[in-house]
Amino acid sequence: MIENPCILTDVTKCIGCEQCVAACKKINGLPEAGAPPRPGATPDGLSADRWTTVIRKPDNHFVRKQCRHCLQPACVSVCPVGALQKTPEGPVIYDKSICMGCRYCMLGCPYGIPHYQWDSANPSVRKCILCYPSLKSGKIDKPACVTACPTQATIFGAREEMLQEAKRRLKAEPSKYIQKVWGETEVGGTSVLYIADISLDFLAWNGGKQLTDEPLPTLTWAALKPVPFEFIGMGAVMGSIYWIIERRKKLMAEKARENASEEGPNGK
Amino acid sequence: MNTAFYLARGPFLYLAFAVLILGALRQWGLTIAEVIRAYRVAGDQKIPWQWMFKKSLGWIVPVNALRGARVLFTIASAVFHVGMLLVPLFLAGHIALVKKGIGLAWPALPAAAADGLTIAALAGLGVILLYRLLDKAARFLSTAQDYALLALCIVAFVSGYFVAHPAQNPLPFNLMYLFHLLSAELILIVLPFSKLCHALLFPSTRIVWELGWHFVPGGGDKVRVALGKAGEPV
Amino acid sequence: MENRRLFLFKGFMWVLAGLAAAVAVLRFALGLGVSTALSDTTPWGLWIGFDVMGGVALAAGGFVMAAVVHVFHQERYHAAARPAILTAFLGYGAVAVGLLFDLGLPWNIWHPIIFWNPRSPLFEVAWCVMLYLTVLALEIAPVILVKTPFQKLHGLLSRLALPIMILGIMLSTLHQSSLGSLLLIMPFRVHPLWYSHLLPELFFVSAICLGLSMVMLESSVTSWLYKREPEMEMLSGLARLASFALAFYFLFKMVDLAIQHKLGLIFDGSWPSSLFIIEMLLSAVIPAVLFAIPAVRRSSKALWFLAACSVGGFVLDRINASGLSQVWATRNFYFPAWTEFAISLGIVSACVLVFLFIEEHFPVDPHALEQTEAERKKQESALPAFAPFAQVWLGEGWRKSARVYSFLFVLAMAFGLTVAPKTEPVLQMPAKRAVGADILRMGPGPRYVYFDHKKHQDEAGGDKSCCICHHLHQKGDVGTPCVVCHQKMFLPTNIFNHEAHVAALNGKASCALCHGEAEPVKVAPLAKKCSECHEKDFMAQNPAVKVFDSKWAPSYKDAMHKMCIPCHEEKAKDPKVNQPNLGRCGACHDSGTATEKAYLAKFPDSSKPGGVK
Repeated sequence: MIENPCILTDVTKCIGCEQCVAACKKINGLPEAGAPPRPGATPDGLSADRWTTVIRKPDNHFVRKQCRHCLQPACVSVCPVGALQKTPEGPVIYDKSICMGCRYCMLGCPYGIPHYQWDSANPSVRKCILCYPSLKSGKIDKPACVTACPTQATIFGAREEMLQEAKRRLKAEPSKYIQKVWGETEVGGTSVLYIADISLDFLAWNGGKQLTDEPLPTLTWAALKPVPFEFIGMGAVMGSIYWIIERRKKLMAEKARENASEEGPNGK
Repeated sequence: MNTAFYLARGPFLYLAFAVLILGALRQWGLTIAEVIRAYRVAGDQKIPWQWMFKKSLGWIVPVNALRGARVLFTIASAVFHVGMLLVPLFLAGHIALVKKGIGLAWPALPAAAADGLTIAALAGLGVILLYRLLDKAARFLSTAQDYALLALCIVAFVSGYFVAHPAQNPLPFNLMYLFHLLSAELILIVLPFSKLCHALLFPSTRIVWELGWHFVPGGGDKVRVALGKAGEPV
Repeated sequence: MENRRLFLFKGFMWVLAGLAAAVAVLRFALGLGVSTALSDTTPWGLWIGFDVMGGVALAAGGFVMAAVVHVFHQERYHAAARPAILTAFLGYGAVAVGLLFDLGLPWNIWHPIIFWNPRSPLFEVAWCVMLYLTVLALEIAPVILVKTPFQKLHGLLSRLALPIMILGIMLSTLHQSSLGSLLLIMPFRVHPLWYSHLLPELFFVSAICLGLSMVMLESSVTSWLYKREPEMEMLSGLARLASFALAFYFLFKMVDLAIQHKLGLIFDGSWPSSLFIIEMLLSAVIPAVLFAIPAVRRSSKALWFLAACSVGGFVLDRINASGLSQVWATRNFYFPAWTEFAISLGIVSACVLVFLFIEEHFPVDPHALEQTEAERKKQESALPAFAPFAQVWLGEGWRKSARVYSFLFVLAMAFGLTVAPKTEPVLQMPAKRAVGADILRMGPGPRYVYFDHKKHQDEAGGDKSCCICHHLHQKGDVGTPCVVCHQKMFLPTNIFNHEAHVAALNGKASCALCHGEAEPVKVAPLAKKCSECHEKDFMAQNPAVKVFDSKWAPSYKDAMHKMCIPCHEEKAKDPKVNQPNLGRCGACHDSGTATEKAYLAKFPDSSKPGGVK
């Protein structure tokens, strides 16, 4: 399996046939017709039974949405038990036997990718895993969605190559594309890249307005790093306050006793 | 009408069984706790368990009571109880509904036998009601609860008979069906909380009765002292 | 005379607990989908916002009072310290129970003990809560142990009390602030008025404020319940402390917003801004100002009310930060299902009942214990009570309580089991009528398929071919989703027209055709299945529509696909038709064909289907 596997999707080439969705469902054993949508289902069409989807935008633009496999994934950093893992090769995968179902990953993901099996009493978090098990065992050399694409709108390779290819296309037809590779730098870079002739900011929550090139996990790490010092510091402060007050009280009591013993005989 | 029908066949039925099952668990729990408590404070803790068990079984077939004073009443009561147990549980229609609902099934009574038992049970109910109304002592002891429960059983049996024999039914079928459903569900709901709970507690009545004889000797005097009536004749 | 107020209050608590027990059964049997209104856009709801976030904050009284009384030696608040620590213990217990409900795989709740991810704030919260629960148990144990034969253990724990208290304060500091750190990673969800890099610090300060208010509220409520004189000296002292703490919190929050240049957002008139103003008024501004007035501090009613106001405000703060303010980003208004409220309230009432039980039986508050024991003695000589309908002697003391409360619990639980939903809510897409019947809509989005109705009708055989595609739809109906007819099959009226069948099958003589001869009751559940007669009819005309057993009724899409695709695929092979691409997705889904463009040109208005670009 190659290092840093990466998918590049060229939105201008997609015809929205959803062959990628069908292939994804097949290789992952997902039901063809999943559970009907709940109120509040994500509007993009992703669900626990649909790990990639094609979003239709005005004027026949089709944008495939899937897990971005961030270089520094927020979902992996927030998972308290490490059920979501960033593999050494790159794809972000999920281990149900560890998960406890807190769904923090679903909130932490800026793209709203992890979805939940709400209809199950034994549910898992589900999302695209970049066909990691099959790629790893060498059963396939490309993710199923890439193989299925009839127009090569979505292609697969090492991240550096894909980035080069994207930039080559942007340069070759500058009037056709918006001069940006989505996923190159946002939240520290992702392993699913897009080039397009429309803005793809809508893929992230709130139009990605709050996202910077800084990886999201650094936001929490800044607060978590000093935790051990805070812990010990608080103990030290509380302990010394107790000691000081206790000592002062003792001294005052002694003084009072001395005064009493001094005054005592005189009083008699 | 349709709404009432929907409620009686769906949610209300569900409620009836939920109340019955949870209420039974509660009643058993309370009874066991009370029995244990009574046993602990009993003065004489030698309880003839085996003898009690035999006696309990014996009372299920009340042959001995036939030599008593209220023979007709005893027979009517026994007939009614047989009908009350067999008809609801072994009617073909009921079993078919249960099978539809949860997939369980068991052998059914022949239709003629069910009809016969229904009529017998109704006759038994009539005798019991007459006895309550005519016998002085029974009338004095009867409460609203006793009459209400009797009426409920009568409605359930009569409406059930007509639902099974639509040709003789004087009312619209659905209305009669609704009466049957509602009265039966009401019986299930009040069962764990009224005197009907003897259906749940009959195995323990003998134990409670027996424990009563094992309290501290002279316990009665203590009660009288507590009530401030020491020395008065009982 | 017994305390009627207390009796009714406890009865109500038992009813709530019974409802929650019923919902709990369904939650664990059927999953979160049935028992909550949570969704992929709103994965955390009331159980996290109120039970966990709010619960931890509400229990802050424990560590605040431990610090005030045992570290700062403010002995006059001693009477409040034990109830506060007991509340904290129960509060954390409630958090753990609440988590059991909320976690999708609750049996894995212990996993943070062996699977570590120290970079996750939730990992830290999990550990702190576990440790602090243990510490609180050790803090509260002497109160219980004093009445048991384990006097050695009691002595040991009493001697270790101070280090245990300080450890508790250390742990509380950490996880009260870590609850704020939980939200740091989602600047894209949490509304800017709540999001700040200082969230951990803000959460810590507000926890201290809330702790003080909660101690006051709880002391007021218990004295009301047991008809005792409120301990005014202690309460007004706490109110003074609270007014300082609340003022500090308010200033901290404002300065933080000012530094981030967000002050303008407070008054921009959007609904998060109104929510923010309400929250700040309730939690900080009103109580801080009024607590500062000595006359207010002398009124027990005012203290009661203001403490409740502040507690409500801070709970709202936790709910806002962890959920409500996120609607700003997700655009999905989540409102908790009643089942979620039932669980939350049930957990709270269970805690209240345990609290009252411990307070009535153990020396949490020595005066209270004396009083309740005196009342218990009085009750023993009361007249015997009988249940109203069953005429059963209720017994005395706890036996009467057991009978009455278990009755309420059982009724509430049965009622809850009956009314609680047993199937998942499904997004009801409004059945849109395609204008001109030539556009098939696909869900709420701008997706559609252009469909030439007349052409299909002509090819299928004109006027009499409707049922080939339209299944059992009502006449003229086009877009009704399957579930509208197929959800309540046990109702005869819903899909089956009995009269029409009787008429068609030659009147009353035909009953036995469906109902059978031997069956005693002629009702729908016992009748023959529709498919026994009609499957062949449907199959002959339209092999695409199958009646099959599955958990879900087929969606509109499935129905359409199963009807269109086989026919299209067949036609694609037909050389006479000469359209080899007819069976491919693009034949319908690839918009932009010439016919379609011509059709859409007729509807330039955006309110008509042509507006769909």
